[in-house]
Amino acid sequence: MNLPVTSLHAAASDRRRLVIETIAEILELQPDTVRLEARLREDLGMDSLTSLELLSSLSRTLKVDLEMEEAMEISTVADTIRFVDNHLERAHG
Amino acid sequence: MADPAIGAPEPARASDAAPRPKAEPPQMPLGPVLAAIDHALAHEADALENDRRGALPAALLERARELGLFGATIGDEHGGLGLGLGATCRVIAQVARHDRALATCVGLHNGLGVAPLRALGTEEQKARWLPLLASGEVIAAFAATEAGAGSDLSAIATHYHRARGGVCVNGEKQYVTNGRLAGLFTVLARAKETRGQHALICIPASAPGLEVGPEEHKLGIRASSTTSLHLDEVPVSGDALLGEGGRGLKDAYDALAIGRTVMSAGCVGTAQAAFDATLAHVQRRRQFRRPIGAFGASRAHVAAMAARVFAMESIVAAVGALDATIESIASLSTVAKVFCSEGAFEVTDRALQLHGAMGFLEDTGVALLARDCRVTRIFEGANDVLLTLLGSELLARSGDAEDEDVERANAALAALRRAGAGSAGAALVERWLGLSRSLRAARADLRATLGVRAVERQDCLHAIARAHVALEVASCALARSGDAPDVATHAGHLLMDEARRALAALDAADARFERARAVSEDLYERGTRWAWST
Repeated sequence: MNLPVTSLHAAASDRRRLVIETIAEILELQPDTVRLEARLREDLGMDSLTSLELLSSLSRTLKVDLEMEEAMEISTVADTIRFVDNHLERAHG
Repeated sequence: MADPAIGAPEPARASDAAPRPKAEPPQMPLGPVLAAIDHALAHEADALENDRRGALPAALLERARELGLFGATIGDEHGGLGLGLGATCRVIAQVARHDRALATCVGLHNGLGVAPLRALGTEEQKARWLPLLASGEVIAAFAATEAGAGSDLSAIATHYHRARGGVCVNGEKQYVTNGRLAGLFTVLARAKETRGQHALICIPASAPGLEVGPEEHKLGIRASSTTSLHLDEVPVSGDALLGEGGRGLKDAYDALAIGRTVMSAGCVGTAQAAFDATLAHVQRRRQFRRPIGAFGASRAHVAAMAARVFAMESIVAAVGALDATIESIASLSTVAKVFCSEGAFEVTDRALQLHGAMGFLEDTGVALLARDCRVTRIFEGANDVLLTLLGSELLARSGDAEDEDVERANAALAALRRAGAGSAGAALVERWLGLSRSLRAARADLRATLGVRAVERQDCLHAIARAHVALEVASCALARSGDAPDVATHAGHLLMDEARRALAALDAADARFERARAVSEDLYERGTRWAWST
């Protein structure tokens, strides 16, 4: 049985998929075109608004409160996945 | 009262706040250029007649070419005037005083039309196109908007796919300014194979498969050309793609920052024209045995118009004086666009009011000014979207340091003192500093209470964005006190009143938000409005 992505024990690939699918949905891209090393602003054309949309969406899905200051440090898709992982670790003690 | 100039500034901290103006590099004297434009257009631009005909006459476009208007931003090595952004803004404002449709044509050409090629084009691309664009032999257009993608350009459907020797482009663009006049279109498209990989693509109007739609009928700037653009397997060579592959969306947003600035300058010219006409009218027109300008209510209108025009000039000058890199003007150009588009509408509306019934008649030209400027609150990014974007930026960045505010306050205070506004100037600057602190506190409060979910509260984002706009413009206007101390002071107070009101709106924001949601949801669910029963 697959664990929900909100679980720390869910597969890393599931969490990666969640982040990539959320980015793809916001930017109306095909998920398989979103590369891990892509920079949110420079490569994907995200701005403060779409960045907040991404984090707000992840916050709702993961049921965690994401810190604004920390969130704004995120630069790439891979950063976003790490950010989610760190938050789940913290949330689950 | 504490004098902000006395307080020792805090140590410098990292800040990503909007950069402050720097001196523009020396360039040709602007006075003769502006005088030539004024002289030529006063005689040859009949904006009312052009509006009635719905097109710019060929002779007027030719005059614009002779004046060098199409080469304003293009370097002299390519035959242009080589003006910086600030000087270009002055040129566009001067044109807009006489004819907004011509200003739209020339402004779009120099801004969104030419800027991407200048910034991203290869030497070969520049050598091929810039001389033609500088002379006006080729007029430029920018095609990004689509039926399903207005302010949200990420949703565009126009796409390109690799073909032998280059790419083929397919799609349908809307609201293309200069559509019927253009010889070169810069088109935003996305790679068909990946749906990502946006690119800006230069497409000559003569390309097979490119078809320009009929002229749209508009409320204002009716003499400017606005069309759709149909692209059906349009073949272009590979080097027609501008810049790095896949960064087209960001490149388009960067170009929009230039476009917004130039458009703001057009708003300044429109407001100046409305103000000048009104100033003459209220002194000439007599009612109740007095010129109508002698009445207190008229004086309040005139003073508010003067303050608004002065503030609009100040913010456009501030953007124009920034280092002419796109990154540096991104935030302040948004401030200028929102402020100047709303300012032009306010000034032309007051002009209509003070002209009375005469203003409602087209022959006075005041109605045309009001019609022409209305669209500026919508295009180049609808103000509602820009305020949301600005608000989210303000929320996301926390590095704006108070010492930077103190530095700006001191600059304003020095200007006020030089202009002879001693203690009153200090009180004004103190008020500005207090409101700036309140705005920072409001941003911190929203960050703490809403966090990243603030994106769902556009009302709050707009409130802090509006306060920011008012305070940014106020500081620019006060720093320019030497030009007109009383007008600058009045502008400062009015803008700070606006900032205060914007911040006060946050107090009851939750209740208002819930009421608006309840009203709209009820209406959406019923699909109709209430009955008028009594």
